[in-house]
Amino acid sequence: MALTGILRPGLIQLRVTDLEKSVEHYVERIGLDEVGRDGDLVYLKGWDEFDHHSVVLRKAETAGMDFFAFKVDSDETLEHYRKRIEDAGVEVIDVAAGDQPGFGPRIAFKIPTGHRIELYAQVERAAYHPPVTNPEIVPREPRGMHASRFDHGLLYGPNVNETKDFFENVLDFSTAEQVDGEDNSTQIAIWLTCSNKAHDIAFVDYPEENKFHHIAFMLENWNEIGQAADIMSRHNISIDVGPTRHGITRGQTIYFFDPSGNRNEVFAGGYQYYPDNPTRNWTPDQLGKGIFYYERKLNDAFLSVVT
Amino acid sequence: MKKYIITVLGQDRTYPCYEGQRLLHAIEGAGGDCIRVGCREGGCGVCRVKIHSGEYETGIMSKAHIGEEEKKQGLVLSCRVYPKGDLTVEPAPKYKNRQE
Repeated sequence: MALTGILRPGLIQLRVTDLEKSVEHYVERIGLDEVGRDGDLVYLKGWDEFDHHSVVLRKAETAGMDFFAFKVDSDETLEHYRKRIEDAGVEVIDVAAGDQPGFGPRIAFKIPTGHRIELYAQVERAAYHPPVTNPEIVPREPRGMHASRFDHGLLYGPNVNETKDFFENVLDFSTAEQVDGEDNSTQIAIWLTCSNKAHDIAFVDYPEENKFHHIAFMLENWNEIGQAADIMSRHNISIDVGPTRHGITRGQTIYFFDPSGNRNEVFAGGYQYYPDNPTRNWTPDQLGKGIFYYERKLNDAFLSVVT
Repeated sequence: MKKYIITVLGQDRTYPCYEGQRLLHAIEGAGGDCIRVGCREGGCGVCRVKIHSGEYETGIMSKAHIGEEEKKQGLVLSCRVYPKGDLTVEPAPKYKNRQE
């Protein structure tokens, strides 16, 4: 199919315990642009994103994620998925237009891992977006790690197999890669795509509901990953692992933490997925190599450090 | 530069912590692995310790891991602890793992 229906992750809201330090981290270090504020909320976007904003920071007493939202291609598609979700027996909650500045109505629902997922069709174009007439390659001078956009997320919770079933059969995602459990009829980790990317959202099995593992920002290549590492050490940013490479998705990566302990990733590369590709399977004994291809083992934090 | 001595119960060595350094960072920086390292930013909770004695200040810690009751008992996230004197601490991990 062409890229229709659900298009991409377009909006994520994170809880942060120190708003000013977080804004400095996401704007000055990662390189997002601040597009607005409303009390305890700050709205951000990447330099290569057209829509009003893509990342929201909300000041709170705990770290973690409030919701993860996908943009769909039309109002008709939004209504189509509302019916599909309701037909699957899942309650749909309406979020009024204007709840987020620039955004039209959204629909929200809870998936079996306990996370709040949302869909929306309408969002205003950002005041400062990539040029569309004789477009310059760099619309503004690079800042910090020069992240171009919000790329994907990894979430932790129970019922990964039910979640895979929901995303495949209700939301029309494909599973690009998966890690099998003790037998190959169940999975402990899944990488799902609605697009041409190797993953748009991923899940790892975890006993507690609604946990957040990381939000990933797109960089251009290995060189930018290396420059991001220089910036992380220059500013004593807490690094989890990397620079390294994932076997799964083939992405080049650094995992690090924001000033509230939410894990971030800078991500470059990764293969292009087509919906006729078969699912790539990893056996549980090769999990370490799948996650961190060069180290060939998990670090202590991968399976247990979440917000 | 002021130096404090950190004693971790059950360890046969002590760790130096310099003025302004955080407890977890001092132990980790001196090669210690007796306290589990997570986000180092007060959010994930895995580096929780109980402080038995000594003066210290704390930064912001997620309420999901350290509430008022825990604080009264001397439970803190070591990544948010700024020692102000010699400390004696005990690892008090709050840790979940899919495989456990």
